[in-house]
Amino acid sequence: MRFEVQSKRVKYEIEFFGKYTIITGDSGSGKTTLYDMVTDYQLGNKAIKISCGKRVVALANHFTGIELEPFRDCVIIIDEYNLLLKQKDAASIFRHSDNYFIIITRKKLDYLPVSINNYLKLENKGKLNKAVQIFPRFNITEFIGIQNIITEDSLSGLEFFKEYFPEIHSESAHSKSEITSYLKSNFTDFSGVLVVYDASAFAFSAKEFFEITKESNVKILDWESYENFLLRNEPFCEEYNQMDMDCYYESLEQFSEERLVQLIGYHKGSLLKCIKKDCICGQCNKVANCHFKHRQLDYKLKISKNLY
Amino acid sequence: MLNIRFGATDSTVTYVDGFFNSDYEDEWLLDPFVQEMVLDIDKSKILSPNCIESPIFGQIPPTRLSGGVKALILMLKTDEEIWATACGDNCAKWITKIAEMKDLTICLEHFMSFEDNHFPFRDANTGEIYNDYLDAIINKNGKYY
Repeated sequence: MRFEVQSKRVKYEIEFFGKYTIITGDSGSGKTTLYDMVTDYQLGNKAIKISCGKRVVALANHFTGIELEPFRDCVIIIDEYNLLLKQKDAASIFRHSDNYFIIITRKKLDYLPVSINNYLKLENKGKLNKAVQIFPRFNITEFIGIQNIITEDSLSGLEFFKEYFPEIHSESAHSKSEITSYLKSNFTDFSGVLVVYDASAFAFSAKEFFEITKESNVKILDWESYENFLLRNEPFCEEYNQMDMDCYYESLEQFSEERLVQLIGYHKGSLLKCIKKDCICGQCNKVANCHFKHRQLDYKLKISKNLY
Repeated sequence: MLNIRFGATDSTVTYVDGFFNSDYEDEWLLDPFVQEMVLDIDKSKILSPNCIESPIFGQIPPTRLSGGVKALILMLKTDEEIWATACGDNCAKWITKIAEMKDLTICLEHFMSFEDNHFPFRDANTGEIYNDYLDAIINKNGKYY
């Protein structure tokens, strides 16, 4: 989705996909001016033009969330001083609101599953301010030399690596915000370490992670999410990415998990029975009604063609 | 010395913008150190206590300075605990400079990148002294509350 706001003196261009977008970055880069322009537009300032496929609303800073109720399918701009960001139940308010949010903040809102792709800063070129992605994506498939795999997930995501890569030591850091401290506490040198995180919800942990691992040889597998990886591959072969996301899902991770629940009654708590290597499809009690039975699965090949 | 509180308290000045707008004094803007910070962060030149030349907006009042530079000025000119999450990473070097001039307590609710992470500071939550900013961040497990 593309959102533009401009006056004679300044123009902003923001492209975003999915429910949450964060605008952050240096002081003096024009973030507050963006919010002020949308507020002025709402007040009827006809010198400000807004272009967006949706209604755009700047949430007043003293609003705390209940004011969102009348809005559906709108783009809501929130400034860093907004009282909603201080609310203890902010996570729930955001989750239950069917709108797109562009939040101007540096505060670590780690209760929001924000994609690395939607964590943006403003780059100024004359009067144009363009929002650009801050952190890179990797999509590594090269596993040569990996001795340790560290996952943020302690459930099925971790079980997956233990099942398919038993020769590599796999452990969980227990949460995305603990990856950084886990690495520092357990390794002096990050060579041979592969960190696996869900890019679709990692934005607020990324800055610390990249600071700690800069100039190191750590390898990164930043799939959108484990469930999204499962969906993309056999037997499901359903490809979804950030561009498919609307405001009714918090993240691609949540969407992918719910889609798997619809398809096969997926449960995150343990490794899916039918992707276990020793699974004999015909013995499963759901085989009679399964749409995916007897497909050949080779996840090891899918995730890495160059492991050995 | 620099004191860093991770997470805001009731006494933290979190609404930096409003506090500055209500509390700034004309003479603050005549201080060469303040003028240098405004030029560095906002690329703007202080012409007089009530008039600042911005490259984008022309002549503006001090109330239209960026939130980051307002926070820095408050850190320098008051004894309040200022919410430094209003500051971008381009403010970090100024925070350490101010802390060399006076005892300063700031509050962080995000990971601020300092160019050099090796500097002494006191964790205002625990009283612990650190010589490396990253050590404190790791101890906090990435949590700022």
